[in-house]
Amino acid sequence: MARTQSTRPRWSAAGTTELNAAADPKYYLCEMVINSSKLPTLNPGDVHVWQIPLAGDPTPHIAVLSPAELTRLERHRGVRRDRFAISHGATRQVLGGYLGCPPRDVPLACEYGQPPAVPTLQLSLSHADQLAVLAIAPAPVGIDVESNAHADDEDLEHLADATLAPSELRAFAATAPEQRPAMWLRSWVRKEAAMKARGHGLGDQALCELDVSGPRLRELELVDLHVGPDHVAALASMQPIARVQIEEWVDGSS
Amino acid sequence: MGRAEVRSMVIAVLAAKKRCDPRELEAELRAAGPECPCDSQWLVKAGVGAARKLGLRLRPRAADAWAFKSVEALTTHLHRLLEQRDAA
Repeated sequence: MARTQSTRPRWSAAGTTELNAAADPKYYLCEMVINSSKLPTLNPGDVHVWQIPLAGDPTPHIAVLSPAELTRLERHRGVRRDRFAISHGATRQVLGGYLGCPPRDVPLACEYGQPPAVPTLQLSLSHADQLAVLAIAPAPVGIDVESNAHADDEDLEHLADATLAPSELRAFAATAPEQRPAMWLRSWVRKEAAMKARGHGLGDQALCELDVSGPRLRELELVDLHVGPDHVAALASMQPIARVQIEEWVDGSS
Repeated sequence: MGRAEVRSMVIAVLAAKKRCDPRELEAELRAAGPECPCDSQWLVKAGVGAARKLGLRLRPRAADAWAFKSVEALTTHLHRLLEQRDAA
């Protein structure tokens, strides 16, 4: 499996446009893609992962949200409200690039308690503190990200007992104490990603019955992602993964 | 310990996990619905933390999934476990 990682500005990395995006990051993704003759494509086995920094002015993103998203937005307070707006606005911008439509017109279903969805792509969205990650693929996919700041939890031993499978728990106990927080967090994001890819919830399978220590979990392929020093992330796909392309989204909405 | 105290503990632990103000969080959750629905992954973390403080062991099974859908459900689950332990 090939993995590529890019921090270059959006579609310029794929050579889809002649716009001077690298020189001037202040551009609108939707305009660029609409004007481009080549929309980003997903081949079988591809997974595109977008890292979305949850910082900046949320106002332009609020303008592209759907009524359902606005209703959810109004439930949030403070920084979580801003982060919700940016993550969903950015998701709309990115998806607009794939679908060839403006962010506001992306048919993004966003019901409370349900994962975001569009009719023609498989996607998964996760966020932790100041980072959101969006996975887009042709087959069902799940992604989860957690902040390393949450790893050193006072409840760590209890969380491990509650969520790790027996073999994982034995490995946890055999791990040096200073490495246990990272180990548990890695296991946690893999479990969350696996459950998302399957479309499962806790009612389908208990976390402590889900052994995600290997590269595969029955029909699922599991991949650890490197999304910077402050976060841990994992990806799960219902189809074999041929290539993971990680892109950093740059806010061009303001 | 009464149900209201268990609920307060759940909110406090959840807010600590999410690193936000408990009152602000409760207002957000109430706005989402009377049961205070919340992502199950946060409720698992909060449930384990609250259980530890209560001296309980929480190991969520598929049959317990109902308890990890909202603050009210998790409170009910923990309160029942507490009552069962005290009755034993």
